[in-house]
Amino acid sequence: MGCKVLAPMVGKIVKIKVKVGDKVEEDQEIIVMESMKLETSIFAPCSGVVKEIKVAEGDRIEEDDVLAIIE
Amino acid sequence: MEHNIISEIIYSCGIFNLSLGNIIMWIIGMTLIYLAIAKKFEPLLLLPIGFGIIIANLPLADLMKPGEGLVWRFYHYGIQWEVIPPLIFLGLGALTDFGPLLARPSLIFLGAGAQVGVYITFFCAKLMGFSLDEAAAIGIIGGADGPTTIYVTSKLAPHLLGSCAVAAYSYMALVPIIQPPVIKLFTTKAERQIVMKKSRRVSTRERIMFPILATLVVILLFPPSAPLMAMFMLGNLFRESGVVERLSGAAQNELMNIVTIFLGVSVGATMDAATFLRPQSLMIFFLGAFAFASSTATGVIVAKIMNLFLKDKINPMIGAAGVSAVPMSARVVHVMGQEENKKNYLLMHAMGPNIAGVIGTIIAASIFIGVLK
Amino acid sequence: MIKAFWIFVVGSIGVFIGMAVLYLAMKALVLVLSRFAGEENNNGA
Repeated sequence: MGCKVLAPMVGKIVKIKVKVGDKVEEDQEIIVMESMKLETSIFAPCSGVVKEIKVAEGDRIEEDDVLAIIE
Repeated sequence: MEHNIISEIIYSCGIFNLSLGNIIMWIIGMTLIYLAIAKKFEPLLLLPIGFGIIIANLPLADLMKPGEGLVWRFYHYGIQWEVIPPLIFLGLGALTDFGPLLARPSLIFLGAGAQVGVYITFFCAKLMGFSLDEAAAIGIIGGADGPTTIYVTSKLAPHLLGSCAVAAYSYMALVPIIQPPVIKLFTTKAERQIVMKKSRRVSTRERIMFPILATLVVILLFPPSAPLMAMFMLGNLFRESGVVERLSGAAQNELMNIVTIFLGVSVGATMDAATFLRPQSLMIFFLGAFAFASSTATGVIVAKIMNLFLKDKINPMIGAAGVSAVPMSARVVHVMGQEENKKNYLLMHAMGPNIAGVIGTIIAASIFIGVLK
Repeated sequence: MIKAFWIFVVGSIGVFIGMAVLYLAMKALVLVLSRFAGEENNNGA
C-alpha cells in the first residue's frame, strides 16, 4: 500500500510537521510550503507511517517532486 | 527700515500662506504613510506617495513649480515624458514567469475577460459626469496595474493622476477583501471545488520565443501599447534567455527600485490641495472599488462561459485572477480554493490569467489612448 | 454618451481579438517548436 507525497507546485519548504516513524492519517497536514510568498499546506494522500522524508526545511522544490513516502 | 525687512522675512515664511486644504492634505499624506508602515499597504508606492503629498502642500516651497521645482523635474522628465512607467515594466518583465500561461494558453482569455470590467467602469464614470478622457483613466484602475494606470492617466487626464494612482494601489492592497465576496456571488459551490488538470511542462525555447512573439503581435495590432509592451517583453527576454543575469538583476532590483522612488514622490506631489480636494476625488475612490469588483466579476463570468466548451474544466475562480494585481489575486483565489477543498492547489493555475491580465490591461490602455488621442 | 458606449463595445471586443491572435500565435509557436524537436530527434536517432 502506501503512497508518495508529491509537491503540488513549485516553491520552497517552510516547515515539516512530521518525523520519520510518525503515524499519519489521510488528509493530515504534513508539510507547509511557500510559493509566490503564500504559505500553503500539503496533506497526506493516505494513512500510514512516515517511512522517508526526502526534503529539508528551506529546500526549493519543483512540481511533482517526491517529498515523502508513507507506508 | 528694520520693520520692512523683518516683515519681509516673516511673510516669506510658508506658515502664513497655509490654507486649510494644505493641512487636510497633510493628514491624507500621513494616513497613507501610516497605512504603508503599520498595515503594510503597498508600502513601496504608498510611502513615497504619502510623503510627496505632504511636501507638495508646503506653500512657497515650490517643489512642484513648473520649470524649477525639484519634484517637478522628477514628474516632468519621468512621468510627463512617459519614461518611468515603461521602465517599471522592464523590471516587471524580468520578474514575471510566463510559464503558467504558456502551459495553458486558453487562460489568456481570462486576462481579456477581466478587462471588460474596465470598460464597464469607464461607461459608469462617463454617466457620472466625467469626460471621456477622465473616464478612461478611471476605468483603467480596474486593470489593477499601477504603471499602466499612471501611464494612461498621465496621458489622458493628468489632473487625476494622484487620485487614480492612490485608488489603484490602495485597492490592490485590498484585493483580499474586495474579491472574495464578488467571486462567491458569481460562482456555485460545485464550481469553486473544481480541481484543474495538471499543467504541462513548458520548454525553454517556448519561454524565450514568447516575449518576441508577443511583442510582434501586440505592438503590430495596438501600436500605442509599444512603450509598455516593448519594455515588458524585453525584461522577460532578459529573464528567460538566462545569459544576461546582470541585466535581469538590474532591471528587477536596482532600476525598478530607483524608478519607483521617483514615481512615488512625483505622483504624490501632484496632489496639492486645489487639485485633489474636489468631489471628483471621492467619486474616483468609489469608482475604483467598483472597477476592481466588476473586473473580478467579468473575469469569473468569462471563465464560466469557457467551461461550456471545455472538456478539462477551469475552476472559474481563477477568472478573478485576471485582475492583474500580481500575485495578490492569484493568492486570493488559491486560498478560496483550499477552503472548499484542502487538496486543491489553484495558485499556479491562477497565475496564468494573472499575468495574461497584465497584457490585457496594456491592450485596453492602448485602445483608450488610440481612440481618445 | 453614444461614443462612450461605442468605445465600451469596440474596446471589449478589441481586447478579446488581440488576445485571440496572441493565443493563435502561441499555439503556432508550440507546433513549430515541436516540429523542430521532432526533426532533431529523428536526425539524432
